[in-house]
Amino acid sequence: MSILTFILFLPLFGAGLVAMLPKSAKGLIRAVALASTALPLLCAILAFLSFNGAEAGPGGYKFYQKVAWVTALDINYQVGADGINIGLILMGSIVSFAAVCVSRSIQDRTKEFHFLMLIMIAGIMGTFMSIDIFFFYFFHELALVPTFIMIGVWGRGKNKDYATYKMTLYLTLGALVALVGLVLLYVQSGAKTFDLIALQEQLRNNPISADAQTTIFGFLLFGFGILVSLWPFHTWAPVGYGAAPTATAMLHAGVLKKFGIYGLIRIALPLVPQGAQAWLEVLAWLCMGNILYCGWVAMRQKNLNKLIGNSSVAHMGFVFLGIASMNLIGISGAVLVMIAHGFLAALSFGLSGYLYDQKKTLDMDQYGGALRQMPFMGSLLVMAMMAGCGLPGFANFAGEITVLFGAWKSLPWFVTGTAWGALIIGAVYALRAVRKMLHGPVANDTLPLQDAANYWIKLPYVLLVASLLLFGIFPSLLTDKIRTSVAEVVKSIEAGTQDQQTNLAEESVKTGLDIQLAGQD
Amino acid sequence: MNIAASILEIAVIGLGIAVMLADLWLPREKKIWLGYAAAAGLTLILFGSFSMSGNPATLAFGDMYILDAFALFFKRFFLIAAILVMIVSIEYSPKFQTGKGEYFTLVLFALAGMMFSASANHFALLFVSMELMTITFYVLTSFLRNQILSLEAGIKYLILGALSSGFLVYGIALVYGTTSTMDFATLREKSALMTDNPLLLVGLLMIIGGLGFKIAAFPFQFWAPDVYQGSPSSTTAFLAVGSKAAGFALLMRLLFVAVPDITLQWEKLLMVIAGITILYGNLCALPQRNLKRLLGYSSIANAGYLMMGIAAMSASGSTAILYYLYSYMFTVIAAFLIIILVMKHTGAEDIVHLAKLHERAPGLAGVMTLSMVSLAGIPPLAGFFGKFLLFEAVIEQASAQSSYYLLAAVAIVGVVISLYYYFGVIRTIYWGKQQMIPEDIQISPASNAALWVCSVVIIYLGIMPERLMQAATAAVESLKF
Amino acid sequence: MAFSVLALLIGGSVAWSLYSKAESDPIANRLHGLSTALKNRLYFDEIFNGLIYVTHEAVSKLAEWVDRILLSSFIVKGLSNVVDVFGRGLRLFQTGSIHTYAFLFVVGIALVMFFVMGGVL
Repeated sequence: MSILTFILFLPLFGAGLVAMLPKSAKGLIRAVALASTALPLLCAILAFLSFNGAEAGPGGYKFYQKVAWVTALDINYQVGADGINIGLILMGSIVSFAAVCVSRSIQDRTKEFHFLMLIMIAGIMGTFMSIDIFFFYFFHELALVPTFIMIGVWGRGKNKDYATYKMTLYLTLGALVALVGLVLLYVQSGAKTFDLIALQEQLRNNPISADAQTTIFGFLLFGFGILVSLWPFHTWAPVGYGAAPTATAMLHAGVLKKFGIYGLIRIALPLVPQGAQAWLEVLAWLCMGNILYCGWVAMRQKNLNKLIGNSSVAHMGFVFLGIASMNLIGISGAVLVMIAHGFLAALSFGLSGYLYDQKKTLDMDQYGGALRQMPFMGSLLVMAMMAGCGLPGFANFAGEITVLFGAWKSLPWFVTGTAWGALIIGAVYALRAVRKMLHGPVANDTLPLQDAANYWIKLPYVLLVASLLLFGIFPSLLTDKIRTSVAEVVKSIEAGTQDQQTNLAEESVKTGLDIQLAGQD
Repeated sequence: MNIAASILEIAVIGLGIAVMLADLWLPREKKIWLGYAAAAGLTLILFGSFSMSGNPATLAFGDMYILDAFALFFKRFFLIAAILVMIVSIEYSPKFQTGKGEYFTLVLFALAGMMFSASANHFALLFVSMELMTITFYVLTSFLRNQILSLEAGIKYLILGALSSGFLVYGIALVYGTTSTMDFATLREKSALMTDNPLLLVGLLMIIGGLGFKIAAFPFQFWAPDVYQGSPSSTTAFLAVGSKAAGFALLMRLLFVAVPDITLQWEKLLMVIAGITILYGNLCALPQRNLKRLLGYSSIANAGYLMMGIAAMSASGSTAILYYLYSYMFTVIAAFLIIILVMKHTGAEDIVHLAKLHERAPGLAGVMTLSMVSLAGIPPLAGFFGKFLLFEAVIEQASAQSSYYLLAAVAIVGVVISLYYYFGVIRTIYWGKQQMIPEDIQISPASNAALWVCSVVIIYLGIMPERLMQAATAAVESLKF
Repeated sequence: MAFSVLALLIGGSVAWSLYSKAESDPIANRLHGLSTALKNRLYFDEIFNGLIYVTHEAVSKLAEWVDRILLSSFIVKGLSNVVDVFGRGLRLFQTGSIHTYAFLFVVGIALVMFFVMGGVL
């Protein structure tokens, strides 16, 4: 049995246990939930550390396992990890553990909350380790209902119902559109299988016609795009995250949302590369919408969660830009941003949840001088904001700069716009938030903010910041793994498009990554 | 004559007669046992059915009656549905002042009609089986004799049902007039040669209208919400599950066995019917506050999804229909059972009555959530896999004929709309505002068992679809695609 | 090398001659406006701030308006309202009267026949 299967089924098992415990045993419920995310975290760390030495199974996937599920349609439970998703799995388990840690403030219906959260975590884990496109979709949808109920019951704000519905309907729409694309792949490849490895094999030898590829990529792009809040389908994200309870926002914004990007990199790019080329320009324009437009919107936000929500949408633009560059550096950067942003989003929403629990508001005007009252948590918030505007030393910088390098050759104008947007707009809203909330006179308030009282409360945040710093200072821990696997994807793209120019672009930017990595180390 | 082929129907009718006779002797307060006896009897017949095989097909009664894998698949479906409906009826029966025994008997006779319809290989049997089913339903819908809504439902079902039967008979007559046969096998050969005979086409369209009434497909669905709302909940459940499935069994046999060559010309018609039915059901359900009426509209929408499988005109489409029907049966019956349990004493079935159900009865709240999520088609539940198969069947056709994309798009819009009202029920359960004084909820052991069965099967079909998929695939082989 | 030493010497001596005995800044008195500008780093901060105000602030106001009013309210909510209106509108068919239903049933069959026999479907 693969170690990944443990990572997937331990939370499910935990959910089952929680369901059987009595309502009043809150301590026990917390303990079970913590254990059923801490153990997968250990497994994930173990898998990450032993990744290089592990034996590669079919398709180059390590920790591979396959169990037949529906033979008539050739759907299999199939998990495995390569350089692209091993980092995501690690990130997902760290964020899951942190999310369970910060949920201690949930006093109302503790049992139900933890049950739903564990189901959601299992869905998240399954999504990123499945290499069967049916299960890939299945696990993502598995997390949908818990998300809906969690926001509805434990959410905040006056219009949480509206936010809940908006988010759920958007996510379902996106998922269904993507499903059409996935089923089209199944049907048109002629392979009659949902097995990603077999599909890849089949399409390498007999690619789908260019027109059909364009159709399929269109479905996948917009389906996945809605899920990743691609402009202009992004309005659900700030509203939804603004209303979501802390843990849900951390899990969704941090990890689950990456489903769409992961799908594009894992499925859309290598399987229908010609389609990807046809949509390239559109994608590049839309990601400008994310980076610039959503950054501008974030500048005007008065509510911290909405600011983080909008800035997280803006960060997704980087990932799309990396994908649009369609070369080794760009896609590697996209994967790196995905992982870094997972930590960052979880950290930001975790901290905003910490603030909300004390003040019951996230209106930034109500805060002031918080750094004096809570030096520890305040500093963490400063770090989160700095990481958000791309300060070197944090993993986000490494990812974003790699994306910019990768995209420079093929999309120079877009890169300029991105850099402009990211550097100036990002800095403006992040620094303003820091100034307004953390510096200045202490807010006149009956409720002074409390700093984290003990190590247990600090643990999840420290874990997330430490991860950001670790991968920011040593990005090669990730990039080494990512690069080998992305090279495979790029190879499929090149084989599919037969474009000599990409080859050239490839060579010239490869040196770029080396320069950048040298600078990092 | 090969009477042994129809042994299952004979057993069901025998059981019905036995229940009817026992009804005469039993004292009033013990009549509820008739329901349990009937459910037990049906369970035995269901087990018995597994000793039969539809392969190779057996013909009986002058080739009118066929027992193949397809028919057997549906017969088991109807038996399971009837067992569950019987338990639902027992739970509901305190509302009947008189005639509990009759009610159980009528359910059995309706079941016999459905089971015959699964085997119809001839227009005569098609008509007779449908009438057997429909006429018993006239009584079942109006069984709350002192409630005006129930009587109204009965009258509406009677008059519109009679109208649709009229069209059906007229259609059969036209088909017989043009082809001089009522046998499906003969018709298959003859209709292939006269695919553009207008009289034949008109006749077939009338028959489709008559069957469309049963499955509540647009534009023959107007009766459904009123009848669903007014009828006793147990009848509504049987109507939604059994009657619709019987309609689909007949429709599939008619379109794919009797007149496959004509069906091929009608892909656009079938697509349009499917698409409009989906939109109509879902849009109308949106503002709905009455739970039974909501499920009535939802049943129209589901008829639309099922029609997608017909419109796909392929083996995978028909397999998807069979799978979907199973998933629909368990989810809908669970929902109706909960409606009965929670709203035993309230007259109207308003959604508000579900408020705070998670505190009063967490188990029921959980099952209702499962049921709604499954109806919305979200993993890991039965409804998801059913919808997935239907989508797959439609998209399979899209590469050849791009208008199937449009159908898929309509279905997506429908699913997204439906999420709004299904999740509205979940919202009411978990964080709705309570307006009424809560009733205390008592669950009988039989209902408890039924709810367990339903929820386990809903999850099972979602995560272990293999077995049912195989059975459905084998059944569809009888349709000779 | 020699050039830079020379520059250092010249600069140093000029500074010495200007500031060694001065009580207040002699250049400030002579250069007037320019010196204030230099003191404020040529107003770079203000220019940047102003630039950001003119560009980003203005654009961000527009973007936020578009996001809130046009996208969220007008398009997204509008779409949901349209769906809702359709839902309520369609219910007008469900009059509850048998006559209407029977009529609609017959019309339905007639329409199906019309379209199919007319070759539309």
